[in-house]
Amino acid sequence: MSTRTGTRRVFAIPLLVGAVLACAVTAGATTQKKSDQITVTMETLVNQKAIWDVMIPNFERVYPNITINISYNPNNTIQYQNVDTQLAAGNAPDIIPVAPGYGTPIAVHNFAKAGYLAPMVNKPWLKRLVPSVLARDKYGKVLYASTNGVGFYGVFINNTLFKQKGYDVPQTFLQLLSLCKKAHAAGVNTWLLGASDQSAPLVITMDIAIATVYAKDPNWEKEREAGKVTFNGTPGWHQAFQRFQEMNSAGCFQAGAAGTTNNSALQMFALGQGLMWFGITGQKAAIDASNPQFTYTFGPAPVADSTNVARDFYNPDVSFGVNAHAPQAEQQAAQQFIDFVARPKQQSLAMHILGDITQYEWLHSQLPDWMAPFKQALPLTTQPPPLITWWNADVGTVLRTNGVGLITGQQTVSGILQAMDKAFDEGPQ
Amino acid sequence: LESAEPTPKAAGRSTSGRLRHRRVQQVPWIFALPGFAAVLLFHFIPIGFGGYYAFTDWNGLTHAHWIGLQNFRDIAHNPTARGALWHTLILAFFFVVASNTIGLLLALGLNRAVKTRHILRALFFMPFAISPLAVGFIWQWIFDYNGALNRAFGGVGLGSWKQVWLGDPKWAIWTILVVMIWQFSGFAMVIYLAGLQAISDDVYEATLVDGASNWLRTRKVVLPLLAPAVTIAATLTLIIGLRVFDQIMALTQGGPVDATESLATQVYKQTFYSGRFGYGTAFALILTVLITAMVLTQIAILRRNESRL
Repeated sequence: MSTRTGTRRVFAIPLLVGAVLACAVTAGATTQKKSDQITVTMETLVNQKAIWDVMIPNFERVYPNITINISYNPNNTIQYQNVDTQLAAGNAPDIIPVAPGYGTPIAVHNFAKAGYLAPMVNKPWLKRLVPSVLARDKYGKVLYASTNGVGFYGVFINNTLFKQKGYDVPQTFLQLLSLCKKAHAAGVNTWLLGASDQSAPLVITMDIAIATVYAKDPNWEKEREAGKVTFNGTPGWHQAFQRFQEMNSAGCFQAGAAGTTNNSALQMFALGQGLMWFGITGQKAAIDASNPQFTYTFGPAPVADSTNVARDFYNPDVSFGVNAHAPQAEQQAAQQFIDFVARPKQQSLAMHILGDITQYEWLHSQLPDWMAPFKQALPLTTQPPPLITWWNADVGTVLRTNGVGLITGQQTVSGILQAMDKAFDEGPQ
Repeated sequence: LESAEPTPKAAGRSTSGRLRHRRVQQVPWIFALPGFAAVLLFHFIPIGFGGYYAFTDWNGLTHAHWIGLQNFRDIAHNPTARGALWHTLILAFFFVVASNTIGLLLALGLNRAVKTRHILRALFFMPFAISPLAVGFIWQWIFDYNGALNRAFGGVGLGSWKQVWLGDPKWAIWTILVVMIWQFSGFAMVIYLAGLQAISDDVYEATLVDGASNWLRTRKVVLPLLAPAVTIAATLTLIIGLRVFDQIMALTQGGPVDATESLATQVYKQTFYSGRFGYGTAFALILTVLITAMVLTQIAILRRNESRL
């Protein structure tokens, strides 16, 4: 009797598992038959949540048979990790966040080369794109990504404090140094810098290099790839780093800048504790959230010798590709969502929520009022961050890691430039 | 004498009993199978793959190619990697010493009949229950140049004590150590408290009868009897110290200029910043071997001391 019971138990378990599986399969098939609803998965940064809280309901009203299931990553570091791991594991979302060009772990170039991105063909929004942005959304001659907005690097200006202290907003590097000395003597912070999380020295030195390297030789990148020039052998790169050091020596940065986080520097600016803060237009929302009453404008960084040369770079923003390994129906729905967001009104709405502008607005110089001081510099701003044009992510990592060393005394200009050359010479990723 | 051979009837019963017993024994194994498969699939196989990728040039996107010991040679020639190893050892050493000393002192203090001992034990243990990353971000706010610590110094007239805690290479690594000690001393305390409470009251009474002073009792009786707790606490804190990651990423991200890089942060950065998955797993393999070797050595030494005591 008990032997039979034991035998029954042994056979009962696989039978039970089989029954459950059969039910699951049948239920799945029934559900699929019942509805043509398609769910598109998507992943992006949490700082874009306000955009998608508006865009997704708008889209789902127009396309009721498509549901967008979005998830957010807290920052770029986690996003890089998640996207790379998901792609390698084969469970990446249908819409993948990407960064145009090379130089980042989610670069369009790398993903397209590895076959992870589906081509985008016959797109109605192509004619509204800036050629230099479009070029970086392509791999070879094929378009693989859609970039919705553009942010600009430059300085946020505390006009109230400038007026209160009787200072003029500097336009050139010499004017900046002069202001720094004067303000420092008066105990006023000129340029709020948050260097402890490493990204600020990276973007400032790259921004200065736009004036000292790229404005003088727009083909410098190609020459570097061909091995005709080097970072350490280019006077403009030395000048860029030296200017960063000169700013430090002239007292431009507040006390303890090397131990201040970028977020803390932003908070200080929003609280009116400095004349300028260097950042990207997309950070407007963070400043407004810190102090909604605070008023400011945004202008070009005063890091060049004159106002007639390029001295800032633009940053392509909110870029997405479609997962080439997703099922066909999901890929098609994902393309529809990307096309919907790229419609002029939707795109403009989305980018203004973030603090960016659309490429169309850029092409037609349509800047919001708070960016009025930047208008004159806009036609000159044609260079993307060098970081995304360098073929190897390690070059940016070297600069990011070592830039703060120019303030702390741990690094020399030549030391950093040599390390960047070494990283560049490792070749494309 | 009774025959050792079973009767045919008894033999038949015995065979069916054995069969039944075997089948009944099989059932728990069937239940254990999914769990065993999961552990194998998600724990041991990835470790095996990790070991393999350490010898490849895998970039996480395309196919991996076998490159032998090249990753390890690159690590040996990389000053950042050597610095990371040194920082890991420094942090682990001071962390083990400090967290165990503080934990032991707290345990000795709170093992008495103090009225507030239960609240105090909970308070000291509480940091351990918080995510290390969250702890790191809270302390980043404290150690920021404009943060709570420097403001407090300024507020009490000690403005000259202000430091660039996270941005000065002289201070950065010690600020990380402070955070680690703050978080994990309570954990060591709990282990030592458990050890202290396992010591019989008779032992204390015997030392009282013998007229031993508090200090003599602690040194000659309590500490030797705490040796097993020391082994456990020192081993666990050594493992925590060697794999330090969250606090560094939250506080300094390895900066300024690699001054706080550890092996674990290098694993992460090489893998996910630079996309050098093979190189990153080589770091991970080194870290695994290092932790295993150091922990086993430490356990062997402490166990030998335990048996001597």
